[in-house]
Amino acid sequence: MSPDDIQSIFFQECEEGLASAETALMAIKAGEHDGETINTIFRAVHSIKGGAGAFGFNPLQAFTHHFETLLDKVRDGELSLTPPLVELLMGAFDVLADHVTAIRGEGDQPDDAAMEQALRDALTAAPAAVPVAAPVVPELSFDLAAMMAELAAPADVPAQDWRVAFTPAAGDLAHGSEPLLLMRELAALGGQVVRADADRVPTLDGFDPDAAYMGWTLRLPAAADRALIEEVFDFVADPASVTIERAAFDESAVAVPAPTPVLQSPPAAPAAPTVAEPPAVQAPPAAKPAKVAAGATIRVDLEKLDRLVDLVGELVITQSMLSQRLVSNGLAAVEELADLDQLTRELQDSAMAIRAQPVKSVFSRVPRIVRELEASTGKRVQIEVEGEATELDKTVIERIGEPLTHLVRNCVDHGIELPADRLAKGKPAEGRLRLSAEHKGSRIVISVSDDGAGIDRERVLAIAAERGIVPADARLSDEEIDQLIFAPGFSTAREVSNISGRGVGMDVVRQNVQALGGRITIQSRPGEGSSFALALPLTLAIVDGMVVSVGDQTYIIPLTHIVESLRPERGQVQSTGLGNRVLNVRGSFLPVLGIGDQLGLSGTVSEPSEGVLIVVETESAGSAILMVDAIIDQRQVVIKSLETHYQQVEGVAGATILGDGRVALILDVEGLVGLRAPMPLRCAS
Amino acid sequence: MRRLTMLPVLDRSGVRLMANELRDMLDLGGAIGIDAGKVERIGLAGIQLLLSALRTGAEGATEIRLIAASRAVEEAARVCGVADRLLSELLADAEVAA
Repeated sequence: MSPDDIQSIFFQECEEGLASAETALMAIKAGEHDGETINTIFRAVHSIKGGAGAFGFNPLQAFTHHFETLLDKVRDGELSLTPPLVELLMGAFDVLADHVTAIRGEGDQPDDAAMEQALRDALTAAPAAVPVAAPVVPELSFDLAAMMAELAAPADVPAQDWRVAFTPAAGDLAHGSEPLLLMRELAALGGQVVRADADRVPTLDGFDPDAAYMGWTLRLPAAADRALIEEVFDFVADPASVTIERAAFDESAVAVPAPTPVLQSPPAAPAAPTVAEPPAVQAPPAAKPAKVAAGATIRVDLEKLDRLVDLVGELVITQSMLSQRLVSNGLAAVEELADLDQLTRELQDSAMAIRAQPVKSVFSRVPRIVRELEASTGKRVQIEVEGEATELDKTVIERIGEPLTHLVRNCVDHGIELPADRLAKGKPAEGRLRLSAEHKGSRIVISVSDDGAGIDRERVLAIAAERGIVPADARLSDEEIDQLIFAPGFSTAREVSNISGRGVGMDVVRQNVQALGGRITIQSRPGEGSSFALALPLTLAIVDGMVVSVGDQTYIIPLTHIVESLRPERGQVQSTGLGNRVLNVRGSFLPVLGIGDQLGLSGTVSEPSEGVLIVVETESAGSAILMVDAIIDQRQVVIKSLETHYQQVEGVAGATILGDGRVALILDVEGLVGLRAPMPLRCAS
Repeated sequence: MRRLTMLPVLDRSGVRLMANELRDMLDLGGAIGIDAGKVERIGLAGIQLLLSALRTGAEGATEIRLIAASRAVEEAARVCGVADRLLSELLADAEVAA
């Protein structure tokens, strides 16, 4: 394991420690002042301090030292958790999180002087007679010390070599073992015998050819891989006969072997009792190196996971091709084929599940954001979280952080009122921000809602008209007005603040969500609050799609966009006179876009009554109708990136391989519709 | 000096035979020279037999010496960390001869 690997593990441990500490801090803020909650924070800070020291992150180590000292006083009951102290702990936690971000190279090192002083000041508030703190027990969940010891040591501090003690069991030879082979393997790893214990070899009268009498202590170089050393003893029946540990050696020990006890020692006891004696070099049980605890989880390189997911995707495609081939040869009813299909689907689900992570990792960032907002706005916010154990794909998790952050900022900055205003409206002074996540079909819905003032639609519409986003006399529904807040350059903030209000945030939110194949919807009631719902795919690797034909081509339309499909009567689709066609669908005239026209295909159906019209919904351009020649199927397809294999193509989101081996393009509905229809036309009637 | 030539393969069964031979020779009395110069394969049992024989000689009235050792024996003795004990007299003899 390289130093970078170990450091990477340390960073992960830091993140996990920060997450558990933050959860504990929130519990403390909510009034849970039990010892275990405090201990949770203490352990996290202590672990980070230990790792920081080991890796030479001195500013982090120094800060955690102050933080830890204060926590120790709280833990020992010398300081009580008053609201100001809780606030101080939260502030210190934020600085700690910044330090961790800085050592990861993702931010500047925080100026922690003021916080350090505050921590020191809080300490002096403790009674003068301070008892000696209990010894600190390292709580690192990984054996950092052992891993560090495996690293190449600095020149001035030589790492300790391995001391391997091995005493075969007396009956090993009779069972067919040959300890000499193991000794040769150790020699191949650089092992040198420091001590060969032959004291128990008897004279010929008591000699048993089937008995193993000898034992050894060997020295192996520090750089030797412990796993390889352990591997040598894989087939040793009694693990107690082997000890492997780091140890300091007398440098002369190997050069000058132990004296020859064979010729000088007193006569040995008879064979049987001698064999029963405990091995002379066997270490006591306490000295045995601790085995790594069997954990319920393992860390796996993400590249390996992605490779697995890719391979499973290929398997699904191949299985689909095989299935289609068999069907075309009249073997559709083969029972094994159905079993294979089922197993392949289960395998795919399992592979996807490996990449899934709880949404908690994103939700856990929110408390800090809210604390900062409370401090800068004077508002008071209570956070409620539900469904944080809900899992979705790691990539999706990573990409929703920014949109979610902005939604939270928006809710607090624009939605939740100041305490005085809330009280005047008969609401509690403390606003409520609710985060939730839940599975809905093949998607996960993350909601951010508040009990604030709701969207001021009159104001939104006025600003949109003022900025030319909509005509001054536009007649829009409440939902359409709500959508205006996602328009580029739109902002209702009266002053540009560093929180939100630069008019770029909500637009970026929607773009990011759309880039993930997701959708964002708003529900808002004046005076009662707003709710933003992000419907996201569970994975970016597969998509439910409708397979359609256009000319001699086959395309996939993601089901998430499809509202309905219909075949109009001749004459129902009307021309606007500019070559554009529209269809009245329940009171709304929706533009009809021929996929063939959009993608420059020939030989496609041009008369709508001869093709199929698919009503789609988009975030950016409302509803529209895509005209295709025919619907072939509806199925889940494995997404292949077109950009990776070719280049980005306008109107195309990716590609997939169909069961017959042909490549089908997955349509980018947002892109296709957005090019042609900025807003739906509303029927005058 | 009676001379006992070790079998080429000193596995456990070979060691058992050689141990019995040595005991029989001990009963006959007189110095014993063990020739391990033809040993091609030797395991821990063989090394332990040689150590046992030398110990018996050191502690008893009978002189028992290793008078020859093959490369296989030398290698096994080194790996076991007992080369100095088994081969020191051989080396000394070689130095004297030189």
